[in-house]
Amino acid sequence: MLSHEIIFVADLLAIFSVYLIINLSLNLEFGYAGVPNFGKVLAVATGAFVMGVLPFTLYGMIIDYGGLEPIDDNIQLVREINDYIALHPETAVGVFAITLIVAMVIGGILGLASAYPAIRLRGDYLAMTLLGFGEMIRIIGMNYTPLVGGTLGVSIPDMLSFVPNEYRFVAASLVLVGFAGLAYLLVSRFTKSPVGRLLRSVRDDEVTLQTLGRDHKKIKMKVLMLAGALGAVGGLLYASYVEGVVAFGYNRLNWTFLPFVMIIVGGLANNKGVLVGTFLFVVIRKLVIYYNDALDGMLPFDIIWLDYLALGGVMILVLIFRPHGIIPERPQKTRQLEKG
Amino acid sequence: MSLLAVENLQKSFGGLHALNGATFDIVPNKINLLIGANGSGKSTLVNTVSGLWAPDGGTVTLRGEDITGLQPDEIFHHGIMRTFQIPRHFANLSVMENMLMAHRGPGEIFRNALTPSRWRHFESEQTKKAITILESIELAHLKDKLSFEISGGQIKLLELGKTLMSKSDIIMLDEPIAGVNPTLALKIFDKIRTMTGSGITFLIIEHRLDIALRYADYVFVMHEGRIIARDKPDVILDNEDVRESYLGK
Repeated sequence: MLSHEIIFVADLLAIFSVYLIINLSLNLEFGYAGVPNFGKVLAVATGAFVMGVLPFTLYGMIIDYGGLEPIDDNIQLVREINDYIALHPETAVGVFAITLIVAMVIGGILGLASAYPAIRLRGDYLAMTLLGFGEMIRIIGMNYTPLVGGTLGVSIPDMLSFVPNEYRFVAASLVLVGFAGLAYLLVSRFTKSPVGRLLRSVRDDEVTLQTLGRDHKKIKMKVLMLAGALGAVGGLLYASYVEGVVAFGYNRLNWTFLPFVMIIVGGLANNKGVLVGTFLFVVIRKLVIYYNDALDGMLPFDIIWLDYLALGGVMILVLIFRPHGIIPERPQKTRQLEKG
Repeated sequence: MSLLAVENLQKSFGGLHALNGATFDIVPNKINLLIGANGSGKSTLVNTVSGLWAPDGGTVTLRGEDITGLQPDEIFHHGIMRTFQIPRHFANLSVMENMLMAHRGPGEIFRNALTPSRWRHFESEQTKKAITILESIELAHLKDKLSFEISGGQIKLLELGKTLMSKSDIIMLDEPIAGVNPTLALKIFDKIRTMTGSGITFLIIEHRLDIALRYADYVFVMHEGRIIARDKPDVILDNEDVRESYLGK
């Protein structure tokens, strides 16, 4: 039996990993390219919804469901698929890989499609359009039951069913940490290339960039597509980790505004800042939730407000004392550029 | 065939005809100076030719090809670069990074970003070239400063530096020596003069005629949205219309 401490750390790392991936993608859009994607939840929910649908479809090609339906007979079907995965782990790897690729493709396409009508507009109008798209996907998910079970949601197959129950939690956490580490390395490498400079120049002055021969609209579309794909990975991993998808959980507070706060506090256009901001917020939130019971009754307000107050307090302090974030954006030095 | 020719260009803002039939063609490999009173349409002309604003009428042709109404990035790819009267720059990029933005390299292609071997050499060469240019315009000591940390005059110099980095062969400069000390202003025009020798054509808007006229090969005078005179500097200075509309008697 795993100790409480190990479960606490494993859960913390898993949530941190999910948020790190989502925040890295938001940082590409907002921190680097200056696109205020108030609809970040769109990509996250897309990934989660794909995870809520596609594994059932793919396992349906391998296993005879015997008339069971993914939504109506959800629990029974998930149990059957989990039993199958326990005996055939290789199928889980294949199904997960296909689902991941499909989620990234759809996330990218929706990122592009959501920006297309408003890409010519400046920040505020683009932000409003993207906010609208972010809301739409949650509403569709909640009201169209065949997608992910409507308001009740769906349980999804556990791709780690082949891992002994005792270690499943830690294994899932490690998988997520692995994905987050890979995402961090790739995004850092990407933003250290001349593309990073290009994105920061889109943010700083579109007109100048245009007169220097670059099409800022195309660049924004590309970055929204890329970040959409990455955000979908975050959503998919979260759904896999919690083994379920409930549409109303994909709200703008958790999957848009909190990521914004984390990257602003950490430092925009700086991946290290994103790492620090994400870690800080996830730790504070986890600690507050973990000690909820102990603190209940000691505070002059309801304990449910504590994590929002703590996060808000941290943000205000950072904005007063470190207005550019804990680790601010740094230009590349000539010395580095000379080396290429 | 003219290098860059503008024919009957029109641009209005409400009731104001900022360009009212402007017609001219610039002289290749020379310094073409565009002068005129404030509000005569000089910046509007540059904004329209460079694609920032679509004209209401008229044509712009480059080596016989109609480039009227093209987007600014397309105009740039035709070899025309411009600077702004109120300098525009990437405020949160360093001076060096601003310089590197003047020339698109292979590293800016998204699919190349994760493969440094595809752009490292180019990046390194461009950086070295930028250092040499920054030294020539006395900005080398500021290369790693963020561009919002440098003075207005230095930003003007940075704009000039970017034109030197680019591969454009027609460069339109909007008041390149405004706010720059006289010694440096002369150096800037010396640099421009040298560049004309290597096949670059300049169209320069400038009010500091004491310096600009020393270097100009041809002068174009704008008045109420039209070119009213085009000639060599000494001829222009004797032109009665020009004296009346701009230089004063």
